[in-house]
Amino acid sequence: MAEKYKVIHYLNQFFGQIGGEDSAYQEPLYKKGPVGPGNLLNSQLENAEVIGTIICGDNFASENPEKLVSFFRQVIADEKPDILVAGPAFNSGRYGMACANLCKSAKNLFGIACLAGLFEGNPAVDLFRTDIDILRTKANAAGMKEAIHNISNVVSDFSNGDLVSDANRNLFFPKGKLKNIFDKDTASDRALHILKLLVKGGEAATEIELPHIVNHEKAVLKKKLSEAEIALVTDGGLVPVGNPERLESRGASKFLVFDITGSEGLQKDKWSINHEGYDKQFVLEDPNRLVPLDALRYFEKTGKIRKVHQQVISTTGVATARAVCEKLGREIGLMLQEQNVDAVILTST
Amino acid sequence: MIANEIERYHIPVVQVTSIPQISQGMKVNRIFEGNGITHPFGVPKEKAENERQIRIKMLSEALEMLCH
Amino acid sequence: MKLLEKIKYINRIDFGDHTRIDKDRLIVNTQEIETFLKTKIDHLEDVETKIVRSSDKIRIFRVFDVIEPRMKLTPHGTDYPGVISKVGKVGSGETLILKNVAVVLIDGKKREWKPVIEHTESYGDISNYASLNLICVSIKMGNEIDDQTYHRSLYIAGLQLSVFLCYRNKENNVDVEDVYTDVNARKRQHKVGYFYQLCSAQYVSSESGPIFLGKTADNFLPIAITPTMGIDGALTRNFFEQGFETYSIQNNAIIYSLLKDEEIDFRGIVISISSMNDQDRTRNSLIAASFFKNFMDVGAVVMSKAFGGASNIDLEKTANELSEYNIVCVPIIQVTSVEEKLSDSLIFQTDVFKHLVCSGWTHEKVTLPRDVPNLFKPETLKLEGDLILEIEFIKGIIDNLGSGRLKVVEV
Repeated sequence: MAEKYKVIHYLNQFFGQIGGEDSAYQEPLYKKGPVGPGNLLNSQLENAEVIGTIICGDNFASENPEKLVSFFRQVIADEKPDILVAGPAFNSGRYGMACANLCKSAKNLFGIACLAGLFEGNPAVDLFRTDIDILRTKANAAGMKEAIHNISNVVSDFSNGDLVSDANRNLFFPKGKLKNIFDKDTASDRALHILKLLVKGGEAATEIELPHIVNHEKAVLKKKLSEAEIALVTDGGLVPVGNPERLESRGASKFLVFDITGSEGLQKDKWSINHEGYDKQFVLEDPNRLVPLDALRYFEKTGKIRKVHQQVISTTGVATARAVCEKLGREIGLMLQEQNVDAVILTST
Repeated sequence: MIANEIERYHIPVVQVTSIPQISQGMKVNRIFEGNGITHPFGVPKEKAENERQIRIKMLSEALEMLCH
Repeated sequence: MKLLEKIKYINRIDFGDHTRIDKDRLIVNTQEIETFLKTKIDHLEDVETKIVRSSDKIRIFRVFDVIEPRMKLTPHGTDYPGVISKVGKVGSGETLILKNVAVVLIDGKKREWKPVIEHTESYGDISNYASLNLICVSIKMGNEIDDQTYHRSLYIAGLQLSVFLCYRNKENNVDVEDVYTDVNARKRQHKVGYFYQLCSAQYVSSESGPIFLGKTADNFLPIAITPTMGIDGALTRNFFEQGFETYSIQNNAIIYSLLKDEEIDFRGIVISISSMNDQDRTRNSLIAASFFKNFMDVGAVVMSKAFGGASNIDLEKTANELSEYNIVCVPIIQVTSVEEKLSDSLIFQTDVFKHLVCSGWTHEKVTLPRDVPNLFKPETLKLEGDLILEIEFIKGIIDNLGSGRLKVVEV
């Protein structure tokens, strides 16, 4: 019979049955075999067993992470485990951080497959999700049975050094990367399969869930238009001829700022477009078709607005990740606020 | 996305776009429909002076949106 | 509507004295091909033809298009009507198709080395072209010929050649016959339509290629066609449209799946292009929805899209119109951006699409192995390090028309 995989389980002082907050400074200790919820885990494992449990107080782990790692190193040398299971820590911040830190060391320093069980709101999730495999759990110990069940399934299927597989991927938090994989069916067959379930009145799974967008509080113009300073911003990839600052034509990582003090409009021989997502010819003929500086100057002269902000801001809005767009938007917003700009006209292509 | 982020700093934004659905989906507060993806503030088939007048009119409407 | 497809499998390809099909072998004579193409294309100076056998290991650069050899037997002479023959009826009668073989057109004008076909065993399962027998054609025209004319000529040459090869099937024997009739279809239970977005108007400012019975993409209104028209030469490719080749159009996996499914009454296709402004988008979605509801009376619609993110919006707008009639839509879309969360990489965010199929992430970077011989590699490409390119530029893997097996996950 094949040998079973060896699992080390990490628990805090409470789940490790040492004590409550009063034991939060418990130094790390090692017990052979499973403890507490480790017993339930052990009973459900196939092809694996919990050979030992490391228990450590949450405060000790928070304040002395390197000592915990050293302790762990010693345990590994003695026991030679294949897998580390940390938690589940649910929504406990210190416990969650201890689990995540230990897993990161296990993976990076010792090459041991590991997972931590955490609730979505646990701060350790956002900090460590790209570094380690984090299994989703409920918010508190009411979700223990489900968490242990999921962990035991994942560990029981362990092979090839990877706890995460295409089959169980949905149990884990995504690391923030996309990946193409090959299905056994073609896209058209998959679409037809879904369609037939729906027309027969049934339910079907979708390959992508649409996101939930929150409402944004509306910013209000705090003065009359005739007293306002207006800035022009665009994501149409406006650049000076030659693009000296190398604004990307897609997937922008930055925004550019151009001084247009004294310019009546954007002159065509001074400006170019670096943007992959649209046909540039019309804007190249007259850049004011993208950034209406000539028209805004007209309103400055006639007094409809007080002032045209002396800078035009440009970036590229194609294939640019939402997170990057948000970051750029915030930097632009902060900068304009510091410069006392009252309102923005943003032109998108 | 950029429009909403700028508004966090209490600066009202009018987004001029020819794909208003994207902005609506993002819950952008003020959306002005441009005259085409490749020339939001342009009307190429018009003579230059006419086009400039139309652009002024469009921008005027967009600026008015800031007040609401 | 009744279409009979007569299919011949080509298992071997060779050079020879005379272009013909001899049992399951395609024999190709390059001089003959050059002479033939010069009768069809003006200002053609030179034609270079290379053959690639099914088992060959080779990397083909500068791929412009891939075309399956097909020819109308009846009505005769209606191949790609409006493009290389007079406008005529397609979608019925008999069509000869040569399988396991394709014409690959090489772009001799653009400096770009992508896209490629990775014709190797390891791509056999995942690329539609990796195991085919191929006739690769590169043409040379005078330096004074502008890009548009060159590319149009190249495309016409490809269509002409693909018909020419079929024409040389003098023995007239075939291996398989498939029949598609609407008489059979009407007996089936569930009425379904297909919304087929052929190309994106984002790049249509100069003359675009023909897309429907020779008509080009500019000023295009949605049109309803029968299912078999969609796979019998009525639709050709706007040359610069990415995401699928002529081969994909001819073998549209969605159309064939719907035609073959015993439970589906495939009522029709609405072909459309994505729009540049909201008025066009609204107009097109109203027309398309009306076809599906009032003329085809379907309960559900499969949708496919042209390349790019803005194309999603037209699909969404049409789906919103259809949802008012309680017609459910299942679109096949691709992820083109580099978001972390799959749901963030979609440009539309209404909740009309409760069920989506995602047929690939176009931007995943792939490193190509170094030991593969080259074909039509441009001299300007220096091969010092690894060749890395986005998966969308390895032809035959990502297909907007549903033939690929790719799926996207968050990891």
